[in-house]
Amino acid sequence: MINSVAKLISILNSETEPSQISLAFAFSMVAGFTPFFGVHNLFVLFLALVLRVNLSAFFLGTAAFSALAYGLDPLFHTIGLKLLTWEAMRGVWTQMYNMAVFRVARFNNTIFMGSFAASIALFVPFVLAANFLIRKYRLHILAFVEKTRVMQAWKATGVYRAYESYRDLRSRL
Amino acid sequence: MKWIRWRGLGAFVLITAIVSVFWFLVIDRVIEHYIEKAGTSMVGAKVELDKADLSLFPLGLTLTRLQVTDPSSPMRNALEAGRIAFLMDGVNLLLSKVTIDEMSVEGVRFNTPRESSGAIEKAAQAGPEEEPFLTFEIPDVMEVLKKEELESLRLASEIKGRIESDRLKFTEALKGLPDEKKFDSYRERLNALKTRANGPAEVLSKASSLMALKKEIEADAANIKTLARDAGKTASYYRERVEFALGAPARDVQRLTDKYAITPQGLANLSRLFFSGELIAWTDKALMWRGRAERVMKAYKPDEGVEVKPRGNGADVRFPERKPTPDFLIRKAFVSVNIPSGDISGKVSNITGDQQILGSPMSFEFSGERLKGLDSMSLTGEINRVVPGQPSDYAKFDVRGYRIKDIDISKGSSMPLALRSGVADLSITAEIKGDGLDAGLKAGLSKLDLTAGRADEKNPFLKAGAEALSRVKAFGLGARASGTVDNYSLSVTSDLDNVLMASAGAVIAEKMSVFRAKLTKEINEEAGKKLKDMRSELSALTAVKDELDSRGLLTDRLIEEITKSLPTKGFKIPGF
Repeated sequence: MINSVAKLISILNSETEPSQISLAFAFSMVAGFTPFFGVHNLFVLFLALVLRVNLSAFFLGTAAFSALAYGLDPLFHTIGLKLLTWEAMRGVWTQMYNMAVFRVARFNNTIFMGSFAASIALFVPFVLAANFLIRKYRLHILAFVEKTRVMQAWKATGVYRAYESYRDLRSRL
Repeated sequence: MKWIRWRGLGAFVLITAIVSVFWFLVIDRVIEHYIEKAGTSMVGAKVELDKADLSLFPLGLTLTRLQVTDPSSPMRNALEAGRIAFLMDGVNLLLSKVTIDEMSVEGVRFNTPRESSGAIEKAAQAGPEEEPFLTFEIPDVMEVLKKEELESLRLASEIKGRIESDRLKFTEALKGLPDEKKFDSYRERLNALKTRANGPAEVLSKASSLMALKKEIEADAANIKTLARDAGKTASYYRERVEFALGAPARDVQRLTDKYAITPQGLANLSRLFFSGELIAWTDKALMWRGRAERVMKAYKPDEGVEVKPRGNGADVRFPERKPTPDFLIRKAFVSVNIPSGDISGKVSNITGDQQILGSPMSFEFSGERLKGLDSMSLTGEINRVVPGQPSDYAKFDVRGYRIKDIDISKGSSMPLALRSGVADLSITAEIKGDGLDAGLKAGLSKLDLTAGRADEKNPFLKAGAEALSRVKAFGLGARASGTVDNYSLSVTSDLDNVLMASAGAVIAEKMSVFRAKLTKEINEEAGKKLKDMRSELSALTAVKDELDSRGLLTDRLIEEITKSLPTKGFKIPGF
């Protein structure tokens, strides 16, 4: 838990673009909320790897959202059941039910449908909100922390300089 | 900022490749585990598989050495298949449908020994209740009477109590009716009115009094006669019941003789005692496997609607299919079975739980010829669930020229019977429609070498029976099971009945007469007093009825006398 929080702070404090971080978290939300072993997540992984999003944020977010999904499963089941038994959509679902690609994705499962629909619906608002919050964090909280004496002293140490060199090298790799 | 990370594409390919290789490496074990787990759950005993091998191009599966434990005998396999191989339709598989055009099942063997127990739980199993074989020993009459409730005693007590209760009611009612004193007073009044009258006015007055007296007596007479009629009816009813109860000792004797002694009826179906245990065990086993097969079929349910899954897995919602096909279908399975006599081959068609979608029933046919110790055998049948509400199954099994060798028919009973050698022809048909079961067996056994009874047998009947059976060279056997699959009755007929009847009839007749005589004596003694009390009570009730009749007679006489004393016809008394 402490490691995860430290990692999150490290990501937020890095010089990565806020949009790369928020997009990574948004992808992780889709991967984490929906049942993990599914072909759709292969596509999400593909996007996360090919698009220049922060991978640490993606993997950390996937773990966090997966944990959260356990508690949200009853809600996803309710949403999915409503959608799949919605008479207006019956024609669409029936068409999809008869196509192998959707059957493989198990779209007709209530938890899959509920979690997928919820994560897609939240995707754009989540990216915008996360972008906004990261920027605000960096502007106010991070700037304040950077200015504290403790942080100044820490940055002056040899250990910190060694860590920075390592981080620089890692980012170039 | 560049948005595309080309190195990510390489990473994706690498990750996908690693996952695919890992999946391919473990999938065989996953399939093996799944088959073992699902099979064990369905059968109720261990289902084990040595190896599963999935091939992708073409998509197929090969299973090596599948063992299905017999739940009733965990150290034996009910079925063992050496190799099962089939190809699957890949496109249908993506639609969650397993469609197998041809399956090959090789090296099927039944009832093979296991290296370790295949039981999954140690449930205390109550064995089938063994039908007691007649010991031909007469039980002690006193012991029998201690255990049994006698109809004669029950009826005597019950009827006596009811008669007594009714008698008391009638006696009580009788007390309210005119008695001797009352009749004396009526007579006194009548005699007074009969004296000579002085003048017409007195004549009229006396006539009027006579009419009043007559009316009074008539009212009493009506009450007496109504009660007498009721008492008569009641007494008549109880007379019949008493007659019936008096016959009860004889019925008790007959019932207990039928139950405990050896009767011709009991003897006439001795073959049931020899064969019914095995036949019931076979029938139950066949019905058990049918039930388990049905559970396998029901595992695939294609109905539209919401199919609830275990908690945390949500629910699958099913929609109409454009071209409905069964979720699981094996169009043809070619099966080769190894039996001790050799190999037999057969074909099973349309294995699916969705017959209503396929529109065809599952059918099977097996046959073998020129086998070792067997001229020919064939098995055909059909499991029809095309109309789910009207399930119907049938099977026909024929064996010709089966060479019998050392078959123990009844080992543990007081009359061991074993077929050492011989030839058998056997024909079994079974049909189940809905819950109704109708199965029949016909067997002809010839060239027999039969051993029966124990060498040191003392019981004269068993000795005579065993000697007669040992001389039997051929006999026929017929059996029929009918009823429902949960509750069926089995009838067995055989030529052996006649053999036993002829050999031991005299011994039985003698033993039966001794038992019957003792039983009759004891029952008559025990029930005699109670029956006597019951008859006395009936007599008491009849006495009440007689008393009512005699009072009725008295009233009739008085009325007749009054009528005679009244003026002749045409004379009208004013006021009447």
